[in-house]
Amino acid sequence: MVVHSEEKCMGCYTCIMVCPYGAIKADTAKNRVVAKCDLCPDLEVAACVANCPNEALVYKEVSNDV
Amino acid sequence: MSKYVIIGGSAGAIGAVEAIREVDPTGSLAIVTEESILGYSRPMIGDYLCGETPLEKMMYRDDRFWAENHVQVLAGRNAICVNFSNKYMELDQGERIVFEKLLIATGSKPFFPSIDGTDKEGVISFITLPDAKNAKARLERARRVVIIGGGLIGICAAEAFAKKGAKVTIVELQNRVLALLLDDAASGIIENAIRKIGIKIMTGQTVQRIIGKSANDRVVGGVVLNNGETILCDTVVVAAGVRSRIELVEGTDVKVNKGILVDEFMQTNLPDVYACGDVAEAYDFISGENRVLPQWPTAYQGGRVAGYNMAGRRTTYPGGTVMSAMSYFGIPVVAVGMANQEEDGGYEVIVAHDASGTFYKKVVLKEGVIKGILFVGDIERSGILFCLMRKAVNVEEFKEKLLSPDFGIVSLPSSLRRDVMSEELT
Repeated sequence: MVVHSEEKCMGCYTCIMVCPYGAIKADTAKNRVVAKCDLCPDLEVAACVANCPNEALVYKEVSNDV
Repeated sequence: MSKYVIIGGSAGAIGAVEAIREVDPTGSLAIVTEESILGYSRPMIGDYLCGETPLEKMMYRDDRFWAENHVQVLAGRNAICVNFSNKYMELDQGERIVFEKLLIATGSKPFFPSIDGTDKEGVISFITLPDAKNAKARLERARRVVIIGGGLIGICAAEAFAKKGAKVTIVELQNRVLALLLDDAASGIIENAIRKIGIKIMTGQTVQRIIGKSANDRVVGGVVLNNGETILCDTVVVAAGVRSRIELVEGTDVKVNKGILVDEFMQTNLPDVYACGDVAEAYDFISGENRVLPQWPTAYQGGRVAGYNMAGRRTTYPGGTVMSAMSYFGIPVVAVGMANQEEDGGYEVIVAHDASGTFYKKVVLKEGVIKGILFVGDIERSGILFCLMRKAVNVEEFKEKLLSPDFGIVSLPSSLRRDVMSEELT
């Protein structure tokens, strides 16, 4: 899944600009973003992860029982 | 001797280091940069100036990045000249570094208009962290600030100084702020927000000269506009755009226009010499021409492509275009491609906005293909349009739906859905 680090996020909104599913929302009050998605199934690296300037969005494997 | 050498330590360098190390984990790699701190966000220096963001939060990569990637970092150092035929460069203290592959990622420098008085104390630029630190040291004294230029850098500086209580005036040559990115309507929304916090905007004006204080002419006392008006101030921020830092290749065999010309592999006309970021003139997939795009996403991506090719993995740059995501005065903005294009000469413009002015959305089409996207106030789902634009999908059939609040992949004709989502996007 794509994991968003609130601590690292600069609120630059690049991820919103490039998310092909329009799945990321701006939290303007906190100047950060929130996301819930199923990844970009046809991409090796999800568009938001590939374009996040400072690794605030990263891909992490998670097991189903988490 | 270093197998790979990168001049510059910002977005392009980060992309290149990551790509080189993916292919070649051990080849020697050195970075020469005049800055002492590498890889920080330039757009965030405004937040740094007004104290909203600490330096740690501005870093694109953590402290260990360079060491973990076995990069020899020569920070605070200047490359003086490059001998391209014998493949070595000379540094400021006379050392030579021989290289096999070179990436020029020197970025850009502020453009100073040729007016009198730019050498006075109190005239500053606002691009780098040292610029921001310099501005911060002036905050106590900077009570009246004139910003020359209402572009990205000027607005960023204006917002920061205003938040610290300074009386700020923006002087802009065009008839609106952010004229290169936004159209009249979008600029209007931003201008309202700017004025609301007490910043004065003077459009259609230029600063004719910067004058000194009556007590000390070497220190900024004000500016004189082309209409003859004088604005008293203690600080002038020159934010009249940037120019590629091409000094290292001037007079050499490396081909230059406004920036260093690069091909689809981010290579210059010389083998083994690459360029990316603000210093490079690379392919724009919207205009179909090479152009300088001084912005983070293209610098990083160009750096990656250059890095792969330097390390021997043939990789093609898909082309960049204007990609600006930002937030001013709490208003989020996304401007992509020909965002400020008006309906004219074969361009069709579709607009959606609400009466209260909380959002404004626009898409620019040519022959059914998206050429520009402008979202102000509400930027959600702009990425879907970017995807359609990047893939040059003909949207004629469903163009009325593009700006509706529930537009999504499901809004596409089913025949298109699979095609649109099935290719590499980035």
